[in-house]
Amino acid sequence: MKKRLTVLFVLTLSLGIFIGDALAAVTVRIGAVLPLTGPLAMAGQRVKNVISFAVDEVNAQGGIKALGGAKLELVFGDTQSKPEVAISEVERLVEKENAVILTEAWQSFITLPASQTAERLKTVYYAPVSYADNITERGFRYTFQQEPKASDVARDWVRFLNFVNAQKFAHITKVGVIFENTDMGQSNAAAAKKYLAENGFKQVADLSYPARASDLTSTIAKLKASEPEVVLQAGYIGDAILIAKTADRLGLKVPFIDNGNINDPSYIKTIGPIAEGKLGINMWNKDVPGGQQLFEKYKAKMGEEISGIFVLCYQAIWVFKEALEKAGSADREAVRNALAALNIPASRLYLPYEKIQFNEKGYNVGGGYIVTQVQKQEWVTVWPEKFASKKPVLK
Amino acid sequence: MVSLDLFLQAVVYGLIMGSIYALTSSGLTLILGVLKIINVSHGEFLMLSMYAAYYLFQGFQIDPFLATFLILPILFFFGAFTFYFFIRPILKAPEINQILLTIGISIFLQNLALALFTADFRTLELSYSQKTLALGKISIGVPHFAAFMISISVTMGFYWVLKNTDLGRSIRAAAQNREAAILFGINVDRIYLITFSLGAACLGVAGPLLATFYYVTPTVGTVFLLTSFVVVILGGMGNFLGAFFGGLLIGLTESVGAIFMPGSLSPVLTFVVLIVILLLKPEGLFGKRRR
Amino acid sequence: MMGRGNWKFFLGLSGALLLLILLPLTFKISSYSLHIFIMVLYFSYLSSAWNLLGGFAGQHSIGHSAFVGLGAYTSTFLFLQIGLNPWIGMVLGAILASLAGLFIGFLSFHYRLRGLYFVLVTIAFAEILAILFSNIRFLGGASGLVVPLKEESLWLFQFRSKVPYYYIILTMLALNIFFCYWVRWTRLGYYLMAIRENEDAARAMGIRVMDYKLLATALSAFLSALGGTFYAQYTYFIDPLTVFGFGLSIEILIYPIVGGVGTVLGPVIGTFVLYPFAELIRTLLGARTAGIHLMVYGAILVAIMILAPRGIVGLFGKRFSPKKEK
Repeated sequence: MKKRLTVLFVLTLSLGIFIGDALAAVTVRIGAVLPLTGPLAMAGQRVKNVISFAVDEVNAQGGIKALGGAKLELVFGDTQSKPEVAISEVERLVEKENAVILTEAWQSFITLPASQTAERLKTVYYAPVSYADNITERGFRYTFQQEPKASDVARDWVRFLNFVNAQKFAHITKVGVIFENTDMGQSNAAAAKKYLAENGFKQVADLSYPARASDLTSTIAKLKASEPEVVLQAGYIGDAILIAKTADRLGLKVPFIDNGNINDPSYIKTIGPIAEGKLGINMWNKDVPGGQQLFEKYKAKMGEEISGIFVLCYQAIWVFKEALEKAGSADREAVRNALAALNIPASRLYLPYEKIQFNEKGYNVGGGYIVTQVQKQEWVTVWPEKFASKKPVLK
Repeated sequence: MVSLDLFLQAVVYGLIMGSIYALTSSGLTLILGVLKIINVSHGEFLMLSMYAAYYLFQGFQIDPFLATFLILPILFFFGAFTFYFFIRPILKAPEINQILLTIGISIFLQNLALALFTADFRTLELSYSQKTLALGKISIGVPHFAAFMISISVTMGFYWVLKNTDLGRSIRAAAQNREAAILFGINVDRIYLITFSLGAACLGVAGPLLATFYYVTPTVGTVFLLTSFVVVILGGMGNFLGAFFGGLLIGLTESVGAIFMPGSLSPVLTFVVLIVILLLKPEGLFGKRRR
Repeated sequence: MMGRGNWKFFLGLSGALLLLILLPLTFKISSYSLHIFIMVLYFSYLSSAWNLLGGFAGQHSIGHSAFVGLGAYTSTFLFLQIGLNPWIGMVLGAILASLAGLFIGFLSFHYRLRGLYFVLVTIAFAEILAILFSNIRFLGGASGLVVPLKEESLWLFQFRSKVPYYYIILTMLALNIFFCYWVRWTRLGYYLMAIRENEDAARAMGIRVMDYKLLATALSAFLSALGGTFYAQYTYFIDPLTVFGFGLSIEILIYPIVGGVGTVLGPVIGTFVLYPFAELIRTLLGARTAGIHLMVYGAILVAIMILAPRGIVGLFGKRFSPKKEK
């Protein structure tokens, strides 16, 4: 009896392995290393939701046709916001889970070692969100960056200010900059200094604050004392919330332009009426072509609101689909080459980009930012003109 | 040069934040002074009381200032629970073990909050959240002002209890000399339990106050942890009044420091103050030399 | 010189070492597993370095990341700026770190800081360095430093495959352990332990307490800094939050305490047990509801402290563990 049971057990096991193996052949795995715990867990969780949604959509529409309808499957890893953990997770997802493409660690200081590891494993690391200037400057073949660079945030800040002045929405000469003392903040601020000077603006404040400060009254008071006409703000959402509330309390009522972190749905929700009039660099908004549809689809299915920075990840999944279709195979090298040769025009993109096409460094040369503003408690696009649905209000 | 208004604004907010630090540190100073335990999970108790305030407000529209009356006992019992099951067994263990145990509790609680409440930032939007009082050219937020007044009252109240009640005397006796206290018939184990729970209860007041103007997230405790320890050292371990004035001092250092230096460097100032105090007067500005 | 150590024990230890040496050569090991092994060896190394000061001398520091960071930054910065060979930079960094250790040690010990007070000074020191390095753009600021990929070479401390890194850290660990054994069973070790058990009595017996504490600090800092350079050369990227981080300081002391603080093998055993365990629970639980795997980790730490206060080594015999109690 025992012997028969054992044989039955082994047979079932083998069958299971066989089936599992066969099943595995018809899925293509995308590895996502995210900060699922720690101070950026909120972002990590949102990315997880967004890319799961995108993968479901791709599969519902027939998967990868060039691979006989193979479905996309996501495998996740938690970076815990630690580089050596991120490295572990990258290794694990590539070797044990057979991920063909890896994506986003979110913070640049994690992306750098994570993509380094991917490079050694000859697997694509695709960064839709990280944008430190040096990500694609290391001579890697397998790292791709979809977003414009950190310094481009400052470039577009100043382009927007020029636009505002040219169109006479306001007359800005004095600009204040406050930034969080992190990699992102410092990069944005340093670039801002350069672009402001080049364009003839007077920078009246260049103030740093510690990330996750308990109180920002002194910094905002200093900012107010410098009498800026506009403030450029570079920080993550927690401090952005604190800044907004503190500025309101201290009576600093000039326009604030953020660097791309406040388009999270929780921003307007948490600070309500104070959010009115706030501006921010953004990557997408629901009033760009196709945006409303995406917004509603996502809200209906996931029960939460999608925002700019997460649509970057949504777009990434569709880019993967195109690359896989083009490659016609799930081989990592073929996928890499397909990505490198992609040229997706604006008409097929969800993002307000000119196109998605990577140069020889893996950097997308077709990307671009927009500027959005909170008007009547909703984000609307105000720049560039071809995407703007409303005029900016800077009084 | 820095204008007088700017300076005064910084002073006012330094005192207000300082009073919050004082409150978060008073519990810690008790625990350190009496039990001699370094409780790394102190910040997480604060975080939990902030979430309690948030959910009481969201669910039942209870104003956080009023909610303090509910949250204080909740934190008291939570402190008692933690003490009884996790702290008591390691009271006599080497200090480094105690640190590791509380580190474990801290990691556990942070991630429990993450799992239960998600990582989303939350704020309490009260009708008076953004209202301000004007003191000449200085503006003070209403919730901040209320927090300041309550901090002072609670500190005074606690101080009175420690000085004038039997319980207070027992606590101070147990802190000074455990063996002697036992000889005097004081039930030291019970005192330890009460002290730890009182320490947690202090956070039950600080949390709701903080939640009226700061955001709530599972990792919010870490923002206040180190500062609380610095304040405790500054004021002298076990010294309640010391923690109060220490808190005000640190609040002022941070706030005024940020006026004269790049804001991102002001934490350095706090740490430098700490090191100086440790070297010159480790028993704290108000402590008595114990060596 | 090896005093009370019995030959059976050392035979076992040598056997384990041999196994570790042969591991990548005999088995077909995946890059992932190799990374785990390297990390285990790396943290064992850092924990042992910590243990010299924290375990043997009983001076608990929660700021050892200061030394790791100084090592990492010195070698990397010099490599970037003047092309200085990382091995040389490694030694320079270690020297710098020991000087820093002597500095902070002198301040603390001269002013008789112990227990919580010493802990706080070390935390403050590491935090100050973290903030300073974040603010100084010349040193990379918050963006950190990227180690440029030149060519694969032992001379430049850069390799394509992980295997050379494995052997380097294994060698470092082995040397560290032998050093710890040597310290333990010589007069230095006895003096340190005497200081740990009762500093005043040790002083009364004529031991030059201050000198030995400083020595322990300098040695511990030196070794930690070497580890920092290894980390920089392995991950090719360092930033202040990571290498000067409070999180790193805490992680370095979790392993020795769990393994058995004050023993030679405690830190190694603690790392070998806890690190893969943490990996495992993250792999199994990490992707579901966020935070579950860390809840388990925290709970395990609590359980170990309550159930096995002398650490894993302590579970296996009294003669290995220190006796310091309150």
